[in-house]
Amino acid sequence: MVMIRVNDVSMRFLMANDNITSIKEFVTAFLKRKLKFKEFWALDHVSFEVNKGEVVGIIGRNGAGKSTTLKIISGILKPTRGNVERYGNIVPMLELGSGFDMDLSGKENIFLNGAILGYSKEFLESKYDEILAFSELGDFIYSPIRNYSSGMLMRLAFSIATVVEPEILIVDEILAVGDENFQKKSKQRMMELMSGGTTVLFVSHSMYQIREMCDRVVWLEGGTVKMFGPTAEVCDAYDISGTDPRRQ
Amino acid sequence: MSQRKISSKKICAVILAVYAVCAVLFLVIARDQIIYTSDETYQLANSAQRDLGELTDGMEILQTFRSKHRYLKNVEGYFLTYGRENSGTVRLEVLDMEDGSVLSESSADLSQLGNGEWQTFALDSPIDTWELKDGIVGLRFMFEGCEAGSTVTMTVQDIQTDGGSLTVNGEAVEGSSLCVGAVQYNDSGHAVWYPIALGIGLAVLLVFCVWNILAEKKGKMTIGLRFLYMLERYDFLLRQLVSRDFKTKYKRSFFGVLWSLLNPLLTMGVQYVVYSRIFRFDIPAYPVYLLTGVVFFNFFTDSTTQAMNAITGNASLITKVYVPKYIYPVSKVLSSSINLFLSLIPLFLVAWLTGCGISWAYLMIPFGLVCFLLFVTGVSFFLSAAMVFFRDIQFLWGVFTMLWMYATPIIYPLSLLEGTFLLPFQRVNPMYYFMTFFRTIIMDGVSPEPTQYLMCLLSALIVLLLGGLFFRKTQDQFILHI
Repeated sequence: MVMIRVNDVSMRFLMANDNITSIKEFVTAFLKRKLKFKEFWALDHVSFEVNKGEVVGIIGRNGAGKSTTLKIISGILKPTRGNVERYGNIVPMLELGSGFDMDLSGKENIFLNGAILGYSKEFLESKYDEILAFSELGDFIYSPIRNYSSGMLMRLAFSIATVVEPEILIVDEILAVGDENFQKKSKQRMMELMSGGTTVLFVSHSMYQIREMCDRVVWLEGGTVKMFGPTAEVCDAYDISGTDPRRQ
Repeated sequence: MSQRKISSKKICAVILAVYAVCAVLFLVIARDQIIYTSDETYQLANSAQRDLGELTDGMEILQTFRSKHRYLKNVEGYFLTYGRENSGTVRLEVLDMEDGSVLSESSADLSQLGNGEWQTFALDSPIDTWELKDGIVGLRFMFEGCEAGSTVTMTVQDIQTDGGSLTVNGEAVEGSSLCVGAVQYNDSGHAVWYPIALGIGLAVLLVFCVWNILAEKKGKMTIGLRFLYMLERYDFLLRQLVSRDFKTKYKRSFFGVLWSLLNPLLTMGVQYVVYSRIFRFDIPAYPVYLLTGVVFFNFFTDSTTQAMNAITGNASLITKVYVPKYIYPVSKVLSSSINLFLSLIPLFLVAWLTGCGISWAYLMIPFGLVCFLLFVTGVSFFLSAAMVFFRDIQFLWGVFTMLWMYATPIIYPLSLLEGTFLLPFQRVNPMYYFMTFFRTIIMDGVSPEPTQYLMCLLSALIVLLLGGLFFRKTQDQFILHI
């Protein structure tokens, strides 16, 4: 069963000569007829499918279009051409701490962040104890998070981010935060999540993790799909190309 | 798709019930405004050319005139007191000139009259002048217990009015009219259309509901259903965003939420002292007049300024998670509307303390509030979207709202604008319509004219539509610019 179908997606960015952010700049640029745009195709006819329960990795060098692909799949960016069919709710693994409000308590932030990720009140209430236990925050959960140490903040953020029950999970690099003990714990949590039968889209620069986790891999290069197939096959080809003397 | 929590049948029933209740309330409370036109003062003469000398005991002044409108509500008389304390009473009789019978009477104490001021003689019940022959009404002023040296005088102007004659102590005074005014009104003539229009509205709503329910059964999507699903799905997020904004607003202040009550009162206090002492505007119940303006305009400025940053301020979320972007400006408007509701408390309190009284017309305030919130939401859509592309707006908007505030009768009466270009501007000024709507209810204790309802609704819908369209058209570009 197909969960995500990316149909011939192209994404064009128009880059103005300068980033015009005020009326004055706009008017002067407009009058001077300097309002020209450079076209840049970040993605060019990209198509692939993700089946239910599959872990699909996306690899490629910087600027290959990995983040753009993820943004289009999660609906944040609208593609210039083509479309994406989604058959389930998509939950992105948020960059830790985006959406936190420093003046609210840890508990209030759990509900705020959970709501942003699209969870219901009932779900969050049932998971609240689990989040609290995992974050090891204890009674600090009731004080405003501006008083937290950076380690405490990261632990809270991670605990919220990983209490997910999505049909499709999007992971942009595996998160491992905190002291050594918590790092081990958080890494283990990520692995559990990804091997738990949910559909996962996974972007990483670590070929080791990709080989370990993924069923299939999409290799993006210069905005096009260079290769799409079983993990071992694509990873081998990618590794070889990386060491190709002509490319270096 | 998550499980449906609410059934659309129930929602339709609630919507229809609310509409029906509102329609009935409107018809009951605004009954007088629907059936009759608003008051107009027919002034027989208004420039005092001569006075009639001291009016002493037993003197009678009889002025007749042909009624301009159907009903006669009040009579106004112009008196000069010679600037002294007087005693005695002046009695007004309204006469049917055909047989000289007294239709109504009213009296005033001479000591109460102001020099060169119009005195209102309120009649017990309005007089239907169509029942009189040719619509001729007689006004007889009689003076009792008035000694020479401590009495008042009335004035006349050399002007002939339609069907009018002036008699002083039985002697006709040709070609002159007494300085009096008749407060009159008419049948509006289209009262019957209101229940019909509201009934048609109900029928349209009913058809819309049935259509939606049928579509849902067949598994089709309609605008109404899509809206409902969205609301259901993002209701929790909206609540969280609103409660965050509200909680953090006063988080680190000592008085906290109390500021929502104190702020308008303090602003009003300062402006009251300044404007009532220095400019001496002639407005009855000036504190209420001022406070109504301050409360609603401050809310407008506050919420739009906050909503302006709704998109740019949530950039970190918008670039990471997909959420309908409408939710951000809407949540800002909702969170500041909590402040508005809180600041209505001191407003009603001041209205009550200054003797304006709480009336049934207050039940019409929610209508105005809903329209006002929709209007503010529309402006917020526009501002938050425009802010993404042109950050200069945040600086322009502050100046613009200040300009708007001084161009709207908030602290001064409308009459001050006579003869300036700002008077015609009020015809297209939504804020003026909202102010008038709320002031009529709070200060006069009566329902606004039906056209006021219409103007409020139209301002709200037009601005919401335009703002919403602009937002919708530009929202896909946001991510490229924040």
